[in-house]
Amino acid sequence: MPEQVIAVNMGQLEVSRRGGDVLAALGLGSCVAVCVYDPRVRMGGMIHVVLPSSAIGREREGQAKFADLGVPRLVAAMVKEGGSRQRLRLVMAGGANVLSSMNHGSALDIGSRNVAAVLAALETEKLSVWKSDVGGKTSRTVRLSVASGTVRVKTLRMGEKVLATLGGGNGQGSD
Amino acid sequence: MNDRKHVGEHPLDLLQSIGNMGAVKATASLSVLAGHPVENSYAKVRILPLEEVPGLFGDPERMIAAIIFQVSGDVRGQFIATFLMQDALDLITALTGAECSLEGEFSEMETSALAEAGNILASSYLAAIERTTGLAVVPSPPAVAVDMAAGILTSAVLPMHEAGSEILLIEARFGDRERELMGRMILLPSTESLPRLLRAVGGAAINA
Repeated sequence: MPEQVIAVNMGQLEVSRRGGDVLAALGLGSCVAVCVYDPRVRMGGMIHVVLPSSAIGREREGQAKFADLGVPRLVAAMVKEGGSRQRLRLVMAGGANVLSSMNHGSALDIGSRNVAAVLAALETEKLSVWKSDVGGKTSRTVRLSVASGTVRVKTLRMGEKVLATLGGGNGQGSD
Repeated sequence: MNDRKHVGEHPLDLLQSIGNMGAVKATASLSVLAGHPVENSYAKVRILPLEEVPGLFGDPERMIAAIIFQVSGDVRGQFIATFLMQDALDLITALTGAECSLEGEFSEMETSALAEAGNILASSYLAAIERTTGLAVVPSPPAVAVDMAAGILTSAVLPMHEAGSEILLIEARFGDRERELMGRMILLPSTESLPRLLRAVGGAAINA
């Protein structure tokens, strides 16, 4: 099947069962991509989280812009399209502090706040993260292949690496 | 808006003129640093939807070198200087006298050379605004990043966006005889600073 890249831009949520689709969030700095996969029906989903909390009164902006709203919406979208909550496997990547010399330890470090907010939202959903690649100082591109459930993370220094294969037996690594 | 009637200019034009003024001073300083003439080719003011920030320089994954300052005082916001990679390397070579390549991480000396170039751009640019408007415009120490354009730009803009500020971009591009585009300078004044800035620029335009 020819590969088709579906860009998941800031604040967007995408769910796909088309085997040729690759969901991709490009150049994440402090943003976080949450990838979810149901290996039985080979369905993948991704959100591109921008900010931790909608509590600043802007819940109408982008369905997955805020971690607290985006995570439950991603899970609900997977279930609505025929996935099973019990089978969902999740990974997340991103949340870097690219401007660390300026933002270190301050509220301006949105990356680490995004990661914490995604984890809190997953806990509320009683779901856990299989594998993550978060923090650091480097931007990432995250790709989820719908056919295999493979999640790849690319940085400019290290190139592209497999973070997890969610379609496999145990979902860990590229075995 | 009353300002418009008095000055006979649109607020965005006023901001553009201030951006131009800052950029002219900044590129004059950069010319000295680079050892050859650098000029502005473009100046523009626009309000950008957040969704367009990652693609501001085209390919979101494109590698750029950026020097970023928080601005405080009477005008708050961010000042960002960016260079295309080859120009960043050339500039580092001009400053340190040592060849610089893309292999591996930048050394401390290379990073501080970039920070110094950014410092010179930011201080000339912001000092020009200070002189014209009488407002205090103070840059923080710089943060240097060499990374994907989208990651750098969104990281710089999101704290302002989270605080409810519009993304108002005062952009200037600069280049030399060989390359039209070497880099850009972007001033992002916070929304709360705008009335003060516009009043001051309007006043300066009347007095000119």
